[in-house]
Amino acid sequence: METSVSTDSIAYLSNQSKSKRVLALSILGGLAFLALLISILTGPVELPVSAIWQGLKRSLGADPTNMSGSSAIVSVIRLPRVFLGVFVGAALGISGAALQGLFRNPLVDPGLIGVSSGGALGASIWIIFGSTLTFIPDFLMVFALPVFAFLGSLCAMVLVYRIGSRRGHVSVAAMLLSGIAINALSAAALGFLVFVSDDTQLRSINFWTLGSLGGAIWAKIWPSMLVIAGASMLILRDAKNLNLFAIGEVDAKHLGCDTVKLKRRMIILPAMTTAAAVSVSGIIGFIGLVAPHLIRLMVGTDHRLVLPGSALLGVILILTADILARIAVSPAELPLGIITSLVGAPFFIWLLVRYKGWMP
Amino acid sequence: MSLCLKEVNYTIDKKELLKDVNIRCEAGALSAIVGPNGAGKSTALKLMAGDLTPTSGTTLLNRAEISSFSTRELALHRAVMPQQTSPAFGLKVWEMVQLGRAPFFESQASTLTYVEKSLRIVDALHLADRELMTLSGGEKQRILLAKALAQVSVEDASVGEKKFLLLDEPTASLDLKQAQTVMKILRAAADSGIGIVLVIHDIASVRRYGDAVFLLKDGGLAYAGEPKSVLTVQKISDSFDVDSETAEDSIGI
Repeated sequence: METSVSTDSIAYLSNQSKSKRVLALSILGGLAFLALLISILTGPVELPVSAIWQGLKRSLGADPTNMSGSSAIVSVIRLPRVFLGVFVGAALGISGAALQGLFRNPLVDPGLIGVSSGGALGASIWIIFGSTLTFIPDFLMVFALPVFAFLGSLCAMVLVYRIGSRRGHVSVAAMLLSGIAINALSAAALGFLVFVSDDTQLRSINFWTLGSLGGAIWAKIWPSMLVIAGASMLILRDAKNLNLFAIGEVDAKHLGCDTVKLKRRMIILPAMTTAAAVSVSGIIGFIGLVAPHLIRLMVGTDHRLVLPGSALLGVILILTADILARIAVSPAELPLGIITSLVGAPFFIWLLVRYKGWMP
Repeated sequence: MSLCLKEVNYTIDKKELLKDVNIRCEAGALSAIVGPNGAGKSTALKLMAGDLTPTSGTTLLNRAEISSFSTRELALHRAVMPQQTSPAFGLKVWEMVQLGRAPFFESQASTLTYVEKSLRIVDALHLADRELMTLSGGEKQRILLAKALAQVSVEDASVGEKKFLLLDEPTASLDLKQAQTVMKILRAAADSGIGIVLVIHDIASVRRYGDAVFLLKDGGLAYAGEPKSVLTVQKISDSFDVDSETAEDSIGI
């Protein structure tokens, strides 16, 4: 009799954790949707809720006769902005979670270790010198910006990983310091580009250093959305492998995980999502640090939860920050990156204090 | 069914760690690798785990060269119990043990059966819902053993292939009673058909629970055979460079 009770108890624990996971993801999904609706309705022009539906129809070309101003505001201004927020938030959340898994450390963020600024640097190089690359066919041009950003992010990522890890052991200090070095290098290069750029180019570059969802138009953002969706799916597929990797590189290998390939994927894919996000929204810091952390704190450390949960929480955080950015100094707009840093940096400091004990 | 090192040499940085070593561990037996510090015991175990590739010679798992297995295939056939663990993020005991079933594509229900079985074997079912890192050193060791046992468990021991469990000093940090418990668990696992290979310093335990012993000295195999014929006062005092009184004590007569 006692045996059957015990058998049930492990099954019970497993079921309990599964329903907890489903519940957590449902709540996060619901909150993300709510943030999306509020974000669409927030702005200088007050809109009725029905305008969302009309604007959506108009965006999809289903209602060409509707010429009302409110549906135009929704379809041309608010929807691209909000959807950009959804994709950028998800990209930063999931790449933060993936990088923390790769480095086996909760103090990692694409911004802190220089992956974001590497992407911004790559994108800036394209803005300044891109016009000289005339041999690229037009249909590929839309991907040029994310591709250049990706190359920048990938270089930063590889460099940080090389410096920060040695034989499977990650030195947090070395990692953060190499992040500082890359951020400094990017800042210097960006400074130089600002110096040689003309007025329009200057505006674009400025935008990367502060981060914003403003000015989004479908034609510019869809390539990044495509990249983010694809790379995020691939990251989600590695959730179980990241669970193994979390208990140690050698242990993961003994349990059948091809750690060499996993590491390669976890360097390339987060660099892709981060770069795609940076190329359309600039550097928005700390979302990738805060989101996975809060998920672990609230529900658990299983990557099958942490990866999608961080993506959803990333969406919630970024949309909320964007709403604040639009109403705080209305009718002007704060750059979004300022708000995320204002909240994220103290959070990071708190983490540093908390983890001081086990940092080498 | 066996796990063998065949005429293995292993050299790193021009240092010969193992010289012409032959070790043959059978499934269903408890094989111990003993020897003084620096004799190459851990290196031999790492070679048998497939972590290292011999400079010359071969490592054979069930007569196939171990390098011909993919990482996952290898995980289906052998488990390695780590000496310690430091997960990057906290996790529950049952979640840790569950990872032992990661190589197998099986139903969740079947996985949970193995988890439960393994936790019961190490008498830690009551710890299932605890945070792993809040456990004592001995308890953690038992959980790691449960994870490794989950990996090598088979539904029906009488059919199917045999698996191997490799352990590097599993009893080193344990008190007498816990060490004895671990040795008994390993003995029972061997009796159920699993090949147990362990590196260990406790000679008395090997004499009591072991089936075969390989005594390494200076990177070479000094003696091999049944524990009672290899672990004698004479041979121990020779290989470990101690006086016969100390050797007698280590045997535990």
